[in-house]
Amino acid sequence: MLFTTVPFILLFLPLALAGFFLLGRWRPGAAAGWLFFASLVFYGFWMPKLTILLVGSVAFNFMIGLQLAQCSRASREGRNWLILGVTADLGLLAYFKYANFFVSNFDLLFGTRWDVGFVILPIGISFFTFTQIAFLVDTYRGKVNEFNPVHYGLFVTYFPHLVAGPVLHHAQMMPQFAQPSIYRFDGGNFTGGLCIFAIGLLKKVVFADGISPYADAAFNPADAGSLPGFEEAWLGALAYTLQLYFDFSGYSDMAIGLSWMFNVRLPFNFDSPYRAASISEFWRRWHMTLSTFLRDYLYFALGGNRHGSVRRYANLATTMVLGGLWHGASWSFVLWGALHGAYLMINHGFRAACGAVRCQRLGGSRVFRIAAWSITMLAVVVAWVLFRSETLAGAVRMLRGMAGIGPTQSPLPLLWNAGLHLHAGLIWCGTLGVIAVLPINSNRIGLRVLDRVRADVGARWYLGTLAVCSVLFLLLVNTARSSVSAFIYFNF
Amino acid sequence: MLRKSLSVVLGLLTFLFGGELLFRALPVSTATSTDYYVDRNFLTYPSNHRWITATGWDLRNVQHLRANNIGFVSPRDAVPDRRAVALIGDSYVEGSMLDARDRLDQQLERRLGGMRPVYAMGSPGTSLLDYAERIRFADERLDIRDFVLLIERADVRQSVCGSGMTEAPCLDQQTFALRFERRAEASQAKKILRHSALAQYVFSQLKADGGRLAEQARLQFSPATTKKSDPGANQPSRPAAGACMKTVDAVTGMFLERAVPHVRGRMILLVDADRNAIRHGLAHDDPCRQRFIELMRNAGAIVIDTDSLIRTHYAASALSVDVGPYDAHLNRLGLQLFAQAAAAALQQPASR
Repeated sequence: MLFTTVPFILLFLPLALAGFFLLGRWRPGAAAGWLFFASLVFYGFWMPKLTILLVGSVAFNFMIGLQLAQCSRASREGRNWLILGVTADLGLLAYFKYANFFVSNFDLLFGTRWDVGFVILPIGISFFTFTQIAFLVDTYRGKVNEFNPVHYGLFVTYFPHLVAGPVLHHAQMMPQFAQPSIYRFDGGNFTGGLCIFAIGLLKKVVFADGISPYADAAFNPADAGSLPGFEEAWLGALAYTLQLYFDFSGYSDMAIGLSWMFNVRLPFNFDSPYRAASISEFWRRWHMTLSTFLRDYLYFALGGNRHGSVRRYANLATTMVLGGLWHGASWSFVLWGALHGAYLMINHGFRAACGAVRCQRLGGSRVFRIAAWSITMLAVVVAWVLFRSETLAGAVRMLRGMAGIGPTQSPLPLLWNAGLHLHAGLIWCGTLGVIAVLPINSNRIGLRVLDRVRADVGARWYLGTLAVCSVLFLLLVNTARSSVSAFIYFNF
Repeated sequence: MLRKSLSVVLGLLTFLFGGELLFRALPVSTATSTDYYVDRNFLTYPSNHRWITATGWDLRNVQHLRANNIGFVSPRDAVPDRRAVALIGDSYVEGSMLDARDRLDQQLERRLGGMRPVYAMGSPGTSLLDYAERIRFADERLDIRDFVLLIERADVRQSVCGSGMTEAPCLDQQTFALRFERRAEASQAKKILRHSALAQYVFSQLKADGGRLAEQARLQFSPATTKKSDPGANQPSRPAAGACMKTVDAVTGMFLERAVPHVRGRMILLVDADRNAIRHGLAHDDPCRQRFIELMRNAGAIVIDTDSLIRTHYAASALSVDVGPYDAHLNRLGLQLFAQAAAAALQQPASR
């Protein structure tokens, strides 16, 4: 079920909210159970059969967690349970997400003809698998105290984050579910959440979906074998850069807003990433919950920066390559991760070569900051080409086009065939680019709105009405179109 | 309680006024105000009316249009002139999504070396019997002898009463008798809402209509909510051959009966083809279209079957002749092919 559709906004959400708060007045546990059930319905709406897989995965990991909790910290028995749990989780992920990729590469390499058949990718499998691995690791480390099966099930399946994040940590969520106050309706949180949801809906329905045809017009033909021209390739790459940001940050805003309606706070996932003046800053601002997860459970586990600079760079590269592979089973994702790993190594290498004092002095220079921002953005845009392309050959064609090694035709054939105009695409890119780098972003707007509606009843009704009208209007826009586009991160 | 109510009203007003201001700043389509201004049998815009047109929710292909003295989109006012050519058709002739220089009238006029003025008389969503009325008008009021008609594939079907595209003469569905179904006057509410940019956005750009929205919402209840674009999505559906033959015979007969007495020179028909099928290499056979061409040729019209033009084009070029996957109207390139063929036919010595 998509957050942008009639079934979700006019049916599922009102029912989920009503059931949650009505049951919450009577018994918080029942309300949590209701939300758990609603989350399964939300998931099952799209993939009814694979709900069994989700429920099985939740039950299995909870059971392993209970076993781990009974073992003494870092014991051999606990280690065995942990290995079993993590192996099973990764095995599930390997089968559903990577089986075809590995087998086809194996066939290519050894000339064999293995076939695993067509494996359907369960939506959100990367998210619920990683979430649960973190739970097992932390239970093994003795950092988990609560083992309520309903709260655990709800933490994993909680519908606002289930299919596309943010990547949640049990320590952020399970204590919230244990608080009786979240089961009581709070007008301030509800209205604030609704406003944040409306902002996310605007980002997705208008900004991301509005600019997406310009990205598709270049990338789809490039994947099909056409070589885009210079203008087409750059317009496509810039359009995708903005589409991805507004699509994913829009989804995250909607997830955060929905959660506030249920009095649950989700972590921010974006913080104006296209304002970043270095790649490491970019990763502190982009998909923040995944970056934190990869740092805590992969980079640190590999040794982090504790074993010298060479090992540190190798760990960085490994983390980013695996981060790339997490997004999807294809070489273009691996290369995207590797490219970002290389960027990070160069970034850290530069900082090490400059030294802290000189870096600080350079950071104070406006010219340096503009140059650093430009280089960072160039690097990010080039990497998104690998991320978006369905095939490596398509990515190479796009990059060739961007390098000016493409046809120079008039009219621009790819845009022409898509019925699009270069100047209109540039207006979209310019407008959304400015919005993306504005100093005030949806996080700050959301927090301000929350403060305001909590404190002032008049503002609550005023902004609530405005948000309801805006949501209904955006729903009308989305419904009136001939097709509904899914969120990009649903694929991961 | 009073404060809450006031807050709700204020929120509602902020949304409405904010939306109105936003859409006034954006190039949302403005009212066309069509009516029976120059003739009681076909609709036109008011003389010298100016308006904005844009396609879809994201306002593509924005154009600022102006109607000429007889209420059609054209940079040229129509005055009686024997040399002039009347270019008649529907939205394909109007080409409101194209730059003025790319529209068919302008391209045809250039192809004719600027020697003969071309009066565009295109009006969206019209039908073959409408065209007969415009031929009569052009003959009686503008002294025009030569006519070029761009026949879109649905024009014949749309001449039947109840097709939703008849605003004057049409044939009864059962008896094929001639009837006149004039468009009812706009309601007072519609006249007021025409002035609201927010309402124009909802009804013109989103084409918000209860039935259509309900159907779209119903589709969202299906798990497979994402829909890839269908190569044939923008093409009119084709009725069964047996049923349409009778319609073709009746409509074409009536058209000839009403139009031919007013054609003192040449009548050139550019008959649009199934461009989508040609482009995608799909088999297409349309006996009703062939029947229409045959009847018109028998009546002495010069019929240009554009099928071969489109086919030749796609054999040599990958460039589309459609405005886009979202709009099956002809683009500059497609109209260029049509203008070229029409000009060649007009430059031939008259045979009658």
